[in-house]
Order: sequence, then C-alpha cells, then structure tokens
Amino acid sequence: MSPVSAYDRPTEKARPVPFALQLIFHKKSRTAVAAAGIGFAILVMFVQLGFYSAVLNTALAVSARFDAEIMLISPRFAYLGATGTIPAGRLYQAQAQPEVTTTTPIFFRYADWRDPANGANCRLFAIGFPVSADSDISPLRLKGVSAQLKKLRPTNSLLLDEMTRSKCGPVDPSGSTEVRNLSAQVVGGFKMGVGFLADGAMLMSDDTFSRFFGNHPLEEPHLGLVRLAPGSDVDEVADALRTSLPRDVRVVTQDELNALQTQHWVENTAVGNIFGMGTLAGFLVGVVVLFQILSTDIRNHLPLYATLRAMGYSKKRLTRYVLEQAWIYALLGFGPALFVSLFVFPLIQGATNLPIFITPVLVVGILCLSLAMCSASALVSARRLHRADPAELF
Amino acid sequence: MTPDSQNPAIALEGLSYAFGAGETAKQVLFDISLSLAPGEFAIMTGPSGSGKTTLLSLVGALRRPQSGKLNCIGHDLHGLEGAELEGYRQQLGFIFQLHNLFPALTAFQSVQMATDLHPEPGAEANDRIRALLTRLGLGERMDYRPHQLSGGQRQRVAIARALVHRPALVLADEPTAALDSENTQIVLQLLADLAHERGTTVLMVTQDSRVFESADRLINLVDGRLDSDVRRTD
Repeated sequence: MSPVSAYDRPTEKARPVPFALQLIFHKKSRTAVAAAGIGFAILVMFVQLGFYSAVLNTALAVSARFDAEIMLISPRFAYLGATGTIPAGRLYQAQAQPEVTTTTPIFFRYADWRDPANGANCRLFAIGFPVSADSDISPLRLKGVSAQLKKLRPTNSLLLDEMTRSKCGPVDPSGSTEVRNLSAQVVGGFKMGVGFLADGAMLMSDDTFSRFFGNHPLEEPHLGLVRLAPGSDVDEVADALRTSLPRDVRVVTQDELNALQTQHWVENTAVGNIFGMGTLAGFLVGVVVLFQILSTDIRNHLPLYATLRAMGYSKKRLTRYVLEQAWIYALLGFGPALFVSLFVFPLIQGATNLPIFITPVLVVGILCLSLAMCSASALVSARRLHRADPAELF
Repeated sequence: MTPDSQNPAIALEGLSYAFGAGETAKQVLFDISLSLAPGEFAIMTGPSGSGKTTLLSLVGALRRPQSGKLNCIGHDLHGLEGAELEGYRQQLGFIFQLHNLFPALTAFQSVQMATDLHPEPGAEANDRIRALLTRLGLGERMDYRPHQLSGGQRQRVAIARALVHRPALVLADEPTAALDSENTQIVLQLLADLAHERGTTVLMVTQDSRVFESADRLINLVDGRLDSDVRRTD
C-alpha cells in the first residue's frame, strides 16, 4: 500500500476529520443495531402520527367541505356528531344581511345501516339537506354530488360514500338497503371518507332524513349554512349576525368551525389523545435508545475525550460531535422507517378505510421529530462529557 | 539578567499544591520556584509521589493553581477559563503515558485532530502530518487504526499528534516508556530539534535514564520540593 496515496492531493483544502462519521461507522454491527432501534422508534412515530393525522382528517372531513362562509350552530354544539339544534327561523333572519345570498339548513345524525343482502351492520353518518327542483348546488363540496342531487328527490333515496368501510357490505352505489330498519334506496355515490367519525356516510334530502329519524322537525336543523356574495368581508358579516341574532344560535366562520372540530377530536376524544400519546411514546423510546448508545460510547471513550479537552477542544465542539452522531443515527433510522411505512400505510388504509396517508407534511414532520428526538438524546448524553477530566490523564 | 529570566516560557514562583481540603488535605508541592527559557529541553525526575505529574498538569492548565505564581508562554494560569484556557492548551503539546487514540481514527486522522484546531491550508497541514509520521517511522501505516498498530507505534502516533501543530510548549509524561531504543532516540532527537531549532520548550517527566543526556536541564523533585536543578551545558 502506498503510504500517502489517500492524501496526495495537491489541491486539497482543509477538510476536518469526519469525526462523528468515523465513530459511527467504525463498528458497523453496533451501528446497524442502533439504527434498527431508532428506526423502530421512528416507525412507531410514523404510524402514530399517521393515525393522528387521520384524526385531524376526521375532524375536517365534513366541516371543511361545507360550501359556505358562515355557519349557524347551537350553543350546545360540541362537534358534528353532537350538535344540538337551531331554530330554522334564524336562517331566514340571517338573510336580512345584505351580503347573505342563500342559507341552507343541514341535518346530521348517526344511523344504523343494514345491508339486507348479507345482513352486514354498521353505523353511518347521515347528512340531510333540502333538495329543490330548481337547484343543483350541493351544500358540500364533493365531486359529482351536484349532478346527482335530483336523484335524492324521491323519499328514501340516498347517496352512499364509496369510502364506507367494507364491513357495511357492498358499497356499489345501487340497490336496496335498510336505514334504521326502514328500507332505503342507494341511488348514487360520492367519495368523502369520514375516518373515525363513523363507518361511512350518506347524503339524503331533508325529507328522507326526517322520515328516517322519527319525523325530525325540519324547523330544527342541526346547523345552518350562510353563503355570502363574492367579495364580502366574512368577519364583518359574522359580527353583524352575532349582533343581530338571538343567543340561541352561535355564529362561526368556517375556520372557526374547523377549529372547534379539531379541538374536539384532538383534545376531547380518546383517539386524539391515544395517538398523540403514541407519538410521544415513540419519541421517548427513540430518546432512550439513542441515549443508551451515545452515553455508553462516551463512557467508553471518556479518557479519549479528556485528551481532546487537554488538546484545547471546547466542550461546545465535543457536544457538536455528539450531536452530529445523533443526527447521523436519526437519518440512518429514518430511511428504513420511511421505507417500511410506505408498505404499512396502504395495508392499514386497506384494512380500516381510515384516511391515513404518507404525505410530504408527514414525512417532513417525522424527519424534524426524529432530528429533535436524537438531538434531545445527544444533549442529555453529552452531559457525560463534563466528566472527561484531562487532569486525570497524567 | 539572563534571557530566560526576562521572558521565560515557564515561570513558577512559590508554587504549592494540595489535594483535598481541611484536615484531609495532602500537600504534594511545596514552594516550587522554577524558570524555563524558550527552547529549553528539561527533564524532570524524582521518585514516585514526588509531585512531578502534578506539576506537569499545573503547567498544562489541567489543574487550577492554588497558591504561588504560575506564568507560561505569556499566560497567567491563575483564573484561566473558557476560550482563553482552550486557546492556551492549543499552544501546548501533551504526550501522555497512555496513547489515548480513538479506535475509529486512522493514524493520519488522529494526528489531524490536532491540526484541525489550527486553521491553515489543508495541503500544508497534511504535508506536515505526512512528514512527521514518516519521520517517526509510520509512513507506511498512516491509514492504520490503533488496533492494527503495536504499542510503540501507537505511542508514536500520539507523539506526532502532540507535536504536529508546532506547540510552544511540550509537556511529556514518560513518552519513551513504550518505545525501543531506536525509536526512543528518534523521538528524543525530534524533541531536541523542536527545542533547539523552533524554540519549543520541552518539559519531560521520565525515569528512563537513557534519555537524560538529551536534556539541557535535569530537574529533580523529591517529596514535592525542588531537590536539584542542573544545567547540563553548565
């Protein structure tokens, strides 16, 4: 071997020793085990945060699709599954505002669904709204629904969400079914997906809704949509409505409704907390795994770090070396975790019909979390460097 | 007034040091006064427990001086902290009894860890590393890691690491203990050249009588006190 072959470069520039890389790749088997441990923690975060994002998607699945700028809700409103009712007259009163173009009463309720063909039972989220002969404007921004509104005019007709879970039976948008033990006709379909809210969803006219739900009075909708003329100041109109309408309704903008929904699903439901805690658990597992690796390594090399201190290396620079090692471990664990997630997520989605996807936001978020997790570990581990006392070297 | 008294590399006056405090305190250095000029090669001897290593660690700012004056290469070592302390240590070359090489680093990289602290064109630093390792008989082993080197070779890598950045002051603790006669002579010649040609002050602690004749001064410490200080050129 030539003694200087690796370094004979006339134009070479000052390139510091890749200290962290050298330390990590010196013991490949240990590094592989460490990367596997960290990768597992990151995979846990991927899945948990995937479910968590499904919770967020659940929160906004319906509310973000309302084709209106302002909503009237009951003061008892908790979320779309527990709304309370509002007097329909408030919608007429709202039309007194010059910026308001139309208002629409919306009805919600969970409904037991039964497929008579195979006896499958499940729980769907029913959404009812007026279907007039002269309007093809859907209150929900859903592809293809406007064109099918006329099909909903016959009583007992409904459009079925094609993302309804397979356990509910065939989701082929045709055929007879039973809703709350009453026969119903599936006349078409749409794609929405309601996540954790229910097993699926169906759209129907307010008359059909009333029939299915014990003649629910049409004067008591669960929510009112208020559409404004283009260019209207939404906040200004919302304030005007708050002032003009009695306290038996609450006026919210779409953003405010979405925030209420998110707050409910994230803070008040078990699923939001479980997946939030699951993500935290993955984070902590990663911190502990890497702490064990880094702190053991530092302890084993303590006299060597003390030598660097004697040579004039600062604690800050040694801490940076530990941080660099942690970041490399984070990347080594992240790659395989992402790779596995690309296979696991479709499996989960196929099995549950939950809106769980690998999105760029999720990938970047998990990468940032992984780096934060490993940085936290490194900073705790680096405290051991303070024990590197160069006075002990002589 | 002699040149070394005007601007000494190491100036100790009334230096005392004790481990512990109160009734359990153990005094290891007593009122040491000593001055070494730039370019002097001094060997410090003495029986085990005489305070040689403690003195070395005080001069290297690895311990905090307690009483007496301690000035080295223009720095008052009392209260030296933070970046100033690190800057001082960067001007020194430490050779410890144990080589303390990272198993993951090659011989070249181990030595480069010292030059990395001193910004300069990479080619120059790398040339100097190559030249030094070659002079120490490691030209063929620059890509080797510690486990591929013998004990003596590892010690020579550690010596190269201590000297490559042309320190103003070299502090060595039994640097030749792991070396055979031939390599001992190479290392001693290297230290002597550094001292006499570059003005580096060398303070070496050793019990190895083979090396005494290389030194300009022989300092003997007994029970924490300066027993003798002989200039061999006198």
